[in-house]
Amino acid sequence: MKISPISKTGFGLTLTMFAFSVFALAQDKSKLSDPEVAFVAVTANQIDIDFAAIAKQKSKDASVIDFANTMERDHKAVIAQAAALAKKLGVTPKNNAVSKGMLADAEKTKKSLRSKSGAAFNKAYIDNEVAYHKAVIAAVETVLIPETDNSELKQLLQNVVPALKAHLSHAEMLQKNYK
Amino acid sequence: MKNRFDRTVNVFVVSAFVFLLIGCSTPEKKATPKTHTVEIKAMQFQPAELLVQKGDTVLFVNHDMLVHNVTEERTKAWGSQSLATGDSYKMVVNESSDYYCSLHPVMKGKLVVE
Repeated sequence: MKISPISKTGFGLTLTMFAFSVFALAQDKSKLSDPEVAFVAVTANQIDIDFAAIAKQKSKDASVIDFANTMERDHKAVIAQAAALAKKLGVTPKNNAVSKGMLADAEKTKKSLRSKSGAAFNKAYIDNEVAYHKAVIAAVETVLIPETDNSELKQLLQNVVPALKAHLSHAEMLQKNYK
Repeated sequence: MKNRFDRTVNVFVVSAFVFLLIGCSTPEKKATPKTHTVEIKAMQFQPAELLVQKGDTVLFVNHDMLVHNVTEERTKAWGSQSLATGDSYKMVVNESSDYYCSLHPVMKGKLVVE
């Protein structure tokens, strides 16, 4: 799995770590259970909501704030659907090494984002969104979907991919303004 | 007597010709306006480009898992409210226009009046 090159801001390292967290488990042949896949999916969505909250707090750029609002709204919607499906299936999402690693990496990214302001923040946030969505798309397509047994959970993950790709295209579109 | 007969025949022929002309030149009936449907799913407007006649109605239906809207792209001349899953927006098309979802600007569509 090739993760696209990312800027040398430190985000690249964090996001490579995110992807690594997911792939490492797969390579260990420690297959994720469905409750673990559900937890990883919810965690990935929550992390981007947290990034959006920081952007809304720190940025004064309307395009960045609009983007952050969209990320917050869309990822909350996905979490709500995952929660509804888990309830329907009687599954309790289960914390696991992958989601713990993701959260630890996200904390480092949040700390880095909080240390920036103005144009530097806008650039860092959008660069991070591009890299994060690339990593999440790769993880969902190559690890989470193949490792999911339940057909409804697998379908939900498949349905999320077009949204993640649209988010990535949107972020890449904005990225051109923050070189 | 013969002249009178000829005149009657001429009048009949001319009248028939006039009726024929009127019949031929009756304006074509205007096509009844149609309703077309554009589905929003998998972060796309489907079909992304729609050919319509002026006065046709387009119904946008959100079958996607996320909230979207339909907004005229150039001047925001028209647009829907936010459409949750299952919501729809109906409009009569009077001119060609490009539109997009302002929440997800990479989602674009086109209405082309023929």
